[in-house]
Amino acid sequence: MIPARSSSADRAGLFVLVAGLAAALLVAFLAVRNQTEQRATELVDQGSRLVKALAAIPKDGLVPSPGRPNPLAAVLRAHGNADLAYGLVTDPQGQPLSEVTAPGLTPSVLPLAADKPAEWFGHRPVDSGAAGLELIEFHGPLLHDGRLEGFVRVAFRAPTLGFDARQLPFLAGLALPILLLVPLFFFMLRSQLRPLQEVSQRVEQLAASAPPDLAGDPAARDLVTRFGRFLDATEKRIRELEAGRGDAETAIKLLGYKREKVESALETLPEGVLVLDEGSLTVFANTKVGPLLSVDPAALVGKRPTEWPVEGGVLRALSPLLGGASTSQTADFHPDGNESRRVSVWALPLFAPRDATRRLGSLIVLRETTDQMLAAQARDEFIAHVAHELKTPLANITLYGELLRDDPNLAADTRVEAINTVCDESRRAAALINNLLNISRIEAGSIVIDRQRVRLAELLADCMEQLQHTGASRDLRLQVSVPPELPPVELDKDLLRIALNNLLTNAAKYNRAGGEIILSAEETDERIVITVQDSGIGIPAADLPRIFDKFYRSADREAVARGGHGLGLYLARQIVELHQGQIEVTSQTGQGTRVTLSFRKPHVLLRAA
Amino acid sequence: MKRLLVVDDEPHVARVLRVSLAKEGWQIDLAHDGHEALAAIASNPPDALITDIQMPGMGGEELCRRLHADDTRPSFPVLVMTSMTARDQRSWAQELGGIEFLEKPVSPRRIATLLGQLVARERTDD
Repeated sequence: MIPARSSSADRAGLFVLVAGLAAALLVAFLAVRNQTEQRATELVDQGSRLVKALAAIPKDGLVPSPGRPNPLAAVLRAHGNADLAYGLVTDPQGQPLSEVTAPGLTPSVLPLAADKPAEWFGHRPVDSGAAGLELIEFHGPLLHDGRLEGFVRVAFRAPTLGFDARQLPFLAGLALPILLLVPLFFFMLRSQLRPLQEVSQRVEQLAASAPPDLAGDPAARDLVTRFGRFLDATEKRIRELEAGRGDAETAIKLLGYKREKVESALETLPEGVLVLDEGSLTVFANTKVGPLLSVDPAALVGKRPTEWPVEGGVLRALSPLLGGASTSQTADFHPDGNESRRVSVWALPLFAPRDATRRLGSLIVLRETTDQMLAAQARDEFIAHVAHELKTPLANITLYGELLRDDPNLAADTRVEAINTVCDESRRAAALINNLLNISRIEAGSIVIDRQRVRLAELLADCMEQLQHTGASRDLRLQVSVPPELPPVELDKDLLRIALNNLLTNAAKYNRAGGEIILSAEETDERIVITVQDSGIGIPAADLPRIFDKFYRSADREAVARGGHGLGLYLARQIVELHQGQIEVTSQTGQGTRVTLSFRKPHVLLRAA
Repeated sequence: MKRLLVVDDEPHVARVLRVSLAKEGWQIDLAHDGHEALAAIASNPPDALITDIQMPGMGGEELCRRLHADDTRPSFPVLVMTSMTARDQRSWAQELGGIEFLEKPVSPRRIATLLGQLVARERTDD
């Protein structure tokens, strides 16, 4: 077994050696051939040029004449090519006129076709007359005034593949490294192959021999142990790498999933959300951004805010926020330059989760805050209005108060007027404050209606009596009309009283001297209806649609002269609507006003129990 | 008898001033808004004018602008009663110049003193 292995290794070495030599020879052959071809090309080039040069000389300059050496010989000698075989000058028929021949060679006698000018210049192989020697002949015409006077013909030995003395150093130079490299190659290969061969031999031995042999061979045992350890380590490493790859894939999937989740969450937010990276490049914009900035959100991604295709005014408003400050900032702008809309912007710095000093970029949140803006405006207007409405009765109280204080001798009728005005205006201020409190409770939703069993005959009479006490109805005829069969109803007595007091106050205030107020209740098929009817100045038709608005006051002179704060009807409507009822006003200027409160029976009638 | 034109949509100021300024020799006329005031001035120019700001029809600010723009009218002091205390609500009056402000609630005695001073100044200016 062992010798066989050994000889096969030697065979491999021999094969490498032979292959190396064959390759060297092939390279040498190709090099020589290449050189030969190169020489042939050079020769054709040289010969053609020489013949062209000779053809340019007049015939007489090439033909020997008595007392002068052969000029052709002189020219060819001057050319100095050792391969020159012969030079000839012939007449058009091929008869030599001048001849220079290398020793041992005979010039070709092949004639040239004098009648084919296309073939006058050229080269052709010719027979040398000497064995194994090929010649190449170059020929050209001798012309005089366009007339053919003869030919010039020059021949050279053709280059061969054979060894040439001049090629010897080149070949030697080529052969030397090859001869040196081949053994080196062989030995290198052997040294590389030897351990593998040994391993292979050992493994074969182990396979062939019984296990006890293994125990007996320390070297083999050592090898097996080492090899086993190597295999274990390799397997472990492969497992580690595979596990690592699996982890990486899972992590990538997880990141992708997290990213999708985050983006989906940002997309679901009601606000417009933009995320800028640390270089202020937009990396995310949700769809809500579109209508707020009047731009396609996709057109923002990948751009810096300064490059966003948004309106200039918007950019100006945003620019102080986008400087990358480390604290959150806010700004407002009017989208599309529309002053009645407002968008608020918050710029929040994003920090690395575990390093609060490292900034990752910014989160820009946009929200339409038109409602808040309008609410703030309405609140400011409301406060201004309330202040004005409270100051008016106070101003009148002060006026009359000072009048009473400063003039002890005031005429009796003026004094009565002053005192009445002070009382009326105080009541007006108090009523305003009460109404404001009630409205604020109703608007805040903190009023829960407390339905009680109410006999309308009693409630209405009570309200009318209260009106009489205020003195507001001094010159008026008051009438309460409730049919005795009217069933008790379920209403919030206190709230309904507030609504009726406001309506009765109006009915008195806007009435005429000697006028009347009728407060009545009745039952129809579906509803319980309460009516306040006055014979006053009435409400101009133009004001009717707005009289239930908060703080609305008619510009009508007579109405203005009677004061008022524009909250009574608003509050009455709020109260009626809390009871799911309806309030309506019909009026005719100069005739009077009728206010109707109606409640559907199922909402107000007591259940039969 | 000096004549004071009170421009107010509410009657109380005119009523009180009628009583409290009578012994100072003032007769009170009442106009309910700027339009009425301009008409009253055109037919019978007063010696002084007190106006409210918030009125239906033509308000106090517009009335003052019209008076300021009218070079032909006789000169008389103008007082403006206001319950608005914010300074910026008065910038228009500073632009026009020559307007005195009375913050509500107004005191009849203060009005009497102020009117006396303004009319005296107006006379010396003439």
